[in-house]
Amino acid sequence: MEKIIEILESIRSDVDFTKEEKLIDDGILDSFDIVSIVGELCDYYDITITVDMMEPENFNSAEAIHALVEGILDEE
Amino acid sequence: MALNSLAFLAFLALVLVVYYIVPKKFQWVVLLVASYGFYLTSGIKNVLFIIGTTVFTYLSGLWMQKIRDKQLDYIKSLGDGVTKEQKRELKKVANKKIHSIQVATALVNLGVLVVIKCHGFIFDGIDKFFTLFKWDVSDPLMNLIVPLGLSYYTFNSIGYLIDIGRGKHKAERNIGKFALFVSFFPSIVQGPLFRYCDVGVQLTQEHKLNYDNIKHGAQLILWGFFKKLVIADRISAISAHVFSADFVASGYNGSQVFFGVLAYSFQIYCDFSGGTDITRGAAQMMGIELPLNFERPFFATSMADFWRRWHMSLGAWMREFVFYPVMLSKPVTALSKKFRTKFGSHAGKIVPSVAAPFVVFFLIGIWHGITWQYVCNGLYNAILISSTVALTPVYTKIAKFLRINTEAFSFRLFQMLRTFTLLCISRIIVKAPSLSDAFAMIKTMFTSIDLQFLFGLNGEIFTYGVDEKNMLVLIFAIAILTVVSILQENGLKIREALDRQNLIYRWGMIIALATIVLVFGIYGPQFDASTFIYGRF
Repeated sequence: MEKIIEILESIRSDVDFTKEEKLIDDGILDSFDIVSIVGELCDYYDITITVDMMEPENFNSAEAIHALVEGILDEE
Repeated sequence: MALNSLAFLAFLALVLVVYYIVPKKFQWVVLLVASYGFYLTSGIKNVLFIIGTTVFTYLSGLWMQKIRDKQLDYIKSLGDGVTKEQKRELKKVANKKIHSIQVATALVNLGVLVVIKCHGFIFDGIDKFFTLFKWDVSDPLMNLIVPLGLSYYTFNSIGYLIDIGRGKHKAERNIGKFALFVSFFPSIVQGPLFRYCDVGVQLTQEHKLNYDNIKHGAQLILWGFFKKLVIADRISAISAHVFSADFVASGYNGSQVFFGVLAYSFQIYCDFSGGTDITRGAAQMMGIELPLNFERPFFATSMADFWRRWHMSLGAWMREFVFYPVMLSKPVTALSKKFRTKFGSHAGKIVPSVAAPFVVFFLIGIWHGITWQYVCNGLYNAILISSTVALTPVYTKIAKFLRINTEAFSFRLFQMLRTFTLLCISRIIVKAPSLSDAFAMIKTMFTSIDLQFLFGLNGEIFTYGVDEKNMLVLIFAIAILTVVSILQENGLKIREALDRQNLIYRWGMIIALATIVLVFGIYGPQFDASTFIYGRF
C-alpha cells in the first residue's frame, strides 16, 4: 500500500491520497493522470492493466488501486 | 418534430399518459412505439437507416455473446482438470475472435457514418483530381440527406458492441428492447450519448409514477425552452449576419467579428444545452436518468477543462472507447516506457498525451462531418490540449518565478478569459464562410478594435437583426443565465433548492420563467428539428 501511495504522489504531489476516496468522481485525477498512474503501476509490478479495467471504481482511492493491483497479481 | 415545439409537448404528454396507464411490463413497448413514431416524422427513408444499424448491431452483439458463452461453457465442462494457464489461453483465443468481430462491426458502422457525412468532402477531392485529366466525377450521394441523429445512434451502437467485447454486459436478446436503446425518442435528435449498461437497462425497467420526477423533469424542460427560445433563437440573427458571405465580402472590423463570435458562443451553448435540458427533462418524467451533457463550459479554465464541460457525453465516449485504448495500446505504452526510462516521468507522459488528442479530435471531426474547417478546428484543439500537457511544468515554473498566486480569483478569471478567447478562435474557424475567411477574421479580431461599435455608441450594433428592445431582453435573459450558472458553479442544486422554498415563492419563480418563455420566446413556422444546431449531427 505504501508503494502505491508513493507512486501516486510521484504523479500528483498536490493530492492527499491517504484521505481522498473520490479521485475520479470528484474530478481530482484526469484521464492523463490515470494513464500515467497505469504506466507506473505496470512498470513497477510488471503487470498489464487493460482498458476494461479502466473503471472509475478501480481508481477512486489508493485502496481501490491497491485492490486492483492485488487482483491482477493474484490472477497472473 | 422539433423538441421546442408545441407538437412535441403534446406528443410527450400523450406518451406519458399511456406510459403510466399500461401495465408496467409494457412500458418499454410504449417507448419503442413512440420512438419509431417520432422518428417517422423525420421521413420514412431515415427509418431504413436506423433499422439497418439496429439489426446489424443486434446480430453482431449476439454473435459475440455466443462465442463468449461457448468458451465459458467449454471451460466449465473441463471441470477442475484445467489449469489457470489453460483457462487464460482459452479465454485469449475467444477474446481474439470477439475482438475481430468488434473491430469489423465498428468499422462497418463508422464506415456508413463516414460515407453519409463525408461524401461531399471525399468526392470534392476525387473530382479535383480527375479534373486534371478533364474527367467529370459527380458525387452519387449528392442529394442524400443525413438521417436524423445518425451520429448519435451510430456511436451508441459502437459503444454497445465494445462493451460486450469487454464483458461489461451481455448482448440484449430481445430485438425490440435493443431497438429502443438505439432509437429512444427524446435523445435521438441531439443526444446525449449513453451506454447500454447505464441507460439501456433503465429504458426497459418498470417505472412508477413519481411526483418529483414529473416536477423536476418539467422544470428542466422549461429551463431548456428558456435557453433555446429566449436566448439562442433571438441571438442567432447576429451570428448569421456577421458570418454571412455578403457581410464578410463587404469588409469588417475586429469588434464586429468579436460581437459576432460572442453572439455565436451564446447561441450554440443555449441551443445545444437547451435541447439537452428538454431531452433530459422528458426522460426524467419517465423515470429515466440520462447523463449530463454540459457543466457550465464558460467557466472552463483551460481547453482540456472546456472539453470536460462541453458535450460531456461525447467526451466520455471518446475517453472510454478511443482515448484509453490508444493510450494503453502496446505501441504507445512501449514508446511511453522508453521515454520514461530515458528522460523521466514527464517525458513518458508527454508521448501518449500528444498522440491521443490527435486521434480523438480527428474522430470528433468525422462526427461533425468532414470539411476542411472541421479538420482544421480538430487540429487546433488537439494542438492546444497536447501542448497544455507537455508544457504544464514550464507554466508551473513561470508562475512560481513570477510569484503568481494561482489560487486567487483574479488568476481564475484570467484563465477563464484566456480559454474563452481560444474558444472564440475555434468558433470562427468553423463558422466563417470559408477557411481563408476564418483566418482573416481571426487576424482582424485582434488587430482592428472599434470600441464605439462595441459599446453601441453609433447604433450600428442594433442593425444586426437584434434591435434595442430585443437587445435588452437578451441582456436580461443572459443575466438570469449567468446568475443561475454562478449559483450552480458554487454547488447549489437549483431544483432541490427551489423545493425547499415556500409554495408562493416556488410557484412564483416557475410562473415567472414560464411567462418569460411565453412572452419573449421566438416562435415561428420554421421551427423543425433541423433548427437545433446539433440536430444536424
